[in-house]
Amino acid sequence: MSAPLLSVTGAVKRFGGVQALRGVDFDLKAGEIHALLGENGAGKSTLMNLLSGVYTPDEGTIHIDGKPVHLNNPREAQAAGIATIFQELDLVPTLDVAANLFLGRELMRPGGFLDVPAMRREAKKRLEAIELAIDPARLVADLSIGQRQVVAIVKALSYASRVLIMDEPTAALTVAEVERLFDIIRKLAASGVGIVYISHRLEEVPEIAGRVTVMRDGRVAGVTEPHAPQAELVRLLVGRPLDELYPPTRQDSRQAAAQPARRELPSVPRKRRLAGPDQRVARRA
Amino acid sequence: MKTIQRGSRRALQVALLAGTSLCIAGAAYAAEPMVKACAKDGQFIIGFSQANNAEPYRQHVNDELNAAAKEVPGFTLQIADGAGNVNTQTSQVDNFITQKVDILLISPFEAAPLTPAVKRAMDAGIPVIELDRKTVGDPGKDYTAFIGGDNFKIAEEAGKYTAKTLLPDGGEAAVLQGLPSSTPAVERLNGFKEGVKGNPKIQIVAEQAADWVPDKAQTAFSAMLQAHPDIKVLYASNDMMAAGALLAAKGAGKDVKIIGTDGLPGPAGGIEAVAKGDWAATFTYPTGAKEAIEMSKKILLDCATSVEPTVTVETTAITAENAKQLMGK
Amino acid sequence: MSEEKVSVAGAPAVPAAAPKHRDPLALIVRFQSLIGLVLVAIGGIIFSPRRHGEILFLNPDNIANIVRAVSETGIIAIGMTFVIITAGIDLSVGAVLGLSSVVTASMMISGGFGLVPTILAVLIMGIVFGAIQGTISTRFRLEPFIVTLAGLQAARGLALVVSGNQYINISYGDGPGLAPPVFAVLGERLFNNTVPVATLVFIVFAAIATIVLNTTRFGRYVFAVGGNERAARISGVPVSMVKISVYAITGFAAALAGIVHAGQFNFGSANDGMGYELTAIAAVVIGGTSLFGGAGSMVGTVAGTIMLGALANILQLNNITPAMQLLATAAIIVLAAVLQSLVRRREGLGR
Ligand SMILES: Nc1ncnc2c1ncn2[C@@H]1O[C@H](COP(=O)(O)OP(=O)(O)OP(=O)(O)O)[C@@H](O)[C@H]1O
Ligand SMILES: [Mg+2]
Repeated sequence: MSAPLLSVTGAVKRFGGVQALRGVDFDLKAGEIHALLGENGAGKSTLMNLLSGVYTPDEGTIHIDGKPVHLNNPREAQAAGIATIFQELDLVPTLDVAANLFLGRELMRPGGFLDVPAMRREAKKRLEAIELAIDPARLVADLSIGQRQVVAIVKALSYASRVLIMDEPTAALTVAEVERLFDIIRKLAASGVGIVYISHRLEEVPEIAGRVTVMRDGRVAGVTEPHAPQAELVRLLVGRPLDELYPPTRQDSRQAAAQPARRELPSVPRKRRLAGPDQRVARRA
Repeated sequence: MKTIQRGSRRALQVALLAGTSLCIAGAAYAAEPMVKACAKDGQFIIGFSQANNAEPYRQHVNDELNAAAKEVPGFTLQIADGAGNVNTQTSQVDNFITQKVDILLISPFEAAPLTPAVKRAMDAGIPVIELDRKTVGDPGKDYTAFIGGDNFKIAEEAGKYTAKTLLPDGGEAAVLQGLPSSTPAVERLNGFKEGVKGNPKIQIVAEQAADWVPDKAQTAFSAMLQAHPDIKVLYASNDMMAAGALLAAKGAGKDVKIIGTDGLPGPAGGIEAVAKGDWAATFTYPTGAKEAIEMSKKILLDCATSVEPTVTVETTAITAENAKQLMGK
Repeated sequence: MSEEKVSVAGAPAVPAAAPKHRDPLALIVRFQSLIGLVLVAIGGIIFSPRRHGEILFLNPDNIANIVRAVSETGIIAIGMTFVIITAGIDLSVGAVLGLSSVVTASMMISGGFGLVPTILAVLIMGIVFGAIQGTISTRFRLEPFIVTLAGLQAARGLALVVSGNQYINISYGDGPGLAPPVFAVLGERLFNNTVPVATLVFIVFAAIATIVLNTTRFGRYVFAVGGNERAARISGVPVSMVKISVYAITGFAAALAGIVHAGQFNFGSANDGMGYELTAIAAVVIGGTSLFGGAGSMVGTVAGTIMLGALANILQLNNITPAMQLLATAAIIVLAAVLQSLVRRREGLGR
């Protein structure tokens, strides 16, 4: 492998007074599943928004196949082969599956009319290609969250086939749906698509990723193996060793763990619990 | 060329004359009743297409019509509210035609727009009596009759009263207009201006639309008094606006002579306001309701062969002299 | 989760033979206005006064009257459907109707313009007026409610300026100060005096709008913008253009209704069309179009429009007070809205 498929160097992004990224390096190889971990507000979404053209970096460069590029809007990113599945699914619930898959790229019949049968046929083909049978004529509103996730992936892949960025795709999925999603992701990677996988769930990482980048406070805290010990990941995540987080008595471990971290990152929104001391982590650790 | 033209025109005139006299002769000869089903003890439906129930004056018309119709055992009065919308009112007239009412009474919200609907009723053999407002055309021909006051004349009377009695030595006057570009608003404005012309020392210093409603009138007149503190007389195109103007004058601590229009009865109406001395005068706008029911009786019960095509109900000036006496009525 | 087969590995699964499996409530909402129209029609037949055994409600003249009376608000409601599907609203339409009727009348009467230039100018004026509102709303991220409320005032003001505070009668004939007689055809009926021309304009406009909404890329974008604006933007839908266009369409519709109004009533007045925006919104909502955006149908709007007209008709034929008409309409609007929100909650779309 020469140049990585996608890379970014020295990325800085400010929102008014908030410095969301403070000089981040990141790279993705073809066929790789690269997990991106970090607490709330660590800057993961911001980094991915740079790669998908939603924002432009204040400093730093994005490279595709080693060549610097400017991605000024999502369409340019898509044209460069980068597709993103955002935290909020970008589907239109009141339209059917086929209409969503072809939104903005409708197949037309002569005379300026939509070719609905052709779009349904093609949609069915694409859904079947990842071995999932959803009736393309169904409204997205009628699908389960997992099915919507899949439709979003198929949609993303239909116009950008090189890089797929997924921002917390499993946040709202059931266990069965997560398994199915992982199968799809692995298949895509096997076919050469580079995948960035953003997650809060530490336990998912070894199951799916080939490499892990941990972000903290707008910086890369470290790049490691997915099978690195959980303790190591937690240390990278919160910036101090696990044994400092878990007092030897193990009493009130969650509170004790949460508080120093919160003190360290006062600007963190509290919408979710911290990743490190999460019960799931504790269970595995 | 010329002669031929003139000749043919003359021929046409002769033919027309002959035709007209034939018609007149025919009508006089047959003396057919205007409504064939007329009968002394018959049951009849009278449809009244009202322009807009929401205006107090029109409610007053409805009340008077209901009262007058109740006196006649065979009459059933149906009132449809055009809601100030020519489209709605047109469709209501069409509904009355579908129902084949025996007489159509109508106060058209606007003249030209309701003209085709009135024509359809006439074509369907339904006599049409227009109340208060006319459609386009001539009474006795395009519609059976018109009963009502004359907006222009009533406002002109108010103007003359201002010129002669209220401001004989001249001074500043102001006007509150109804809903701009509605027929009565335009006629009453023009009538008043015509009336005050008799006294060149009177200046109309302000003229604002208050859309017939008291709250807008109060606001508008307050502003007028700010700009022109010497206003001596205010002419309001209806009683409601006069009531609003009074509040404004009181608020500004001014003694303005207020003239209303309509002369509505009841505690909120103009007659009482004049009797109390709050306003200088109001000019009644007669409803013509009694006259309309009388005419309907003539057509439906008495089998009249013709009726008076225009019945103009005169306005009465209500001033301090006669207000108390009229209040009981 | 249960009904579609997902084969994780192996041969592609055959999709379940597309059982659409929609919530029955959703089905009712989808066709609510048609159902409502049928119910009102049945009620009309049952409660219609009769004369010599003839059901007056079904009298052809009566039907023609119903569909004529609703044609202006119907045309406006068609335009409004586009806007409401994008989750917008246009309160200026009644006022634009008034402005258009005034401009139509004054161009032909005092301006001496012919039929075609007048109609073209008025339609273009409507489009421009709507597009300006759409541009202001998207450019400055203002609620369409506020922008079109201002538009309402502006249009009424302009109408008063154009008309010089007077109403303008349209008289027909050749020469200065007269309108071309053919314009009066808008107030007539065609085909043996059965079909009102105003209704024809409404139906043709509705048909074109149905095709545009359901079979063109633009129509699809309208749904997408209302259903999920962010998704639409990211998918490359020109969201601002779509929004500006739908207001241009309502402006066009209001202008068209204004021309029909002037032709039907031989008259232009700044007060014309007062309150039409609310009747139109009611028809659209009763027609099953969601005020939340993203869903709706033209057929529903047409049915909702005619239903309101039929309801007013049957109530008047029975001499029921206008108060009852308002109350009945209110009940229907509430019912339609409640049904909609029930479906949304079931589909988990509740906002
Ligand atoms: N558009 C914005 N305007 C202002 N501040 C922003 C914006 N987007 C992100 N931020 C701030 O930048 C920081 C990084 O946010 P980002 O969304 O990238 O975090 P994240 O790692 O994705 O968090 P989460 O796990 O909660 O999704 C946060 O402090 C956030 O509040
Ligand atoms: Mg995020």
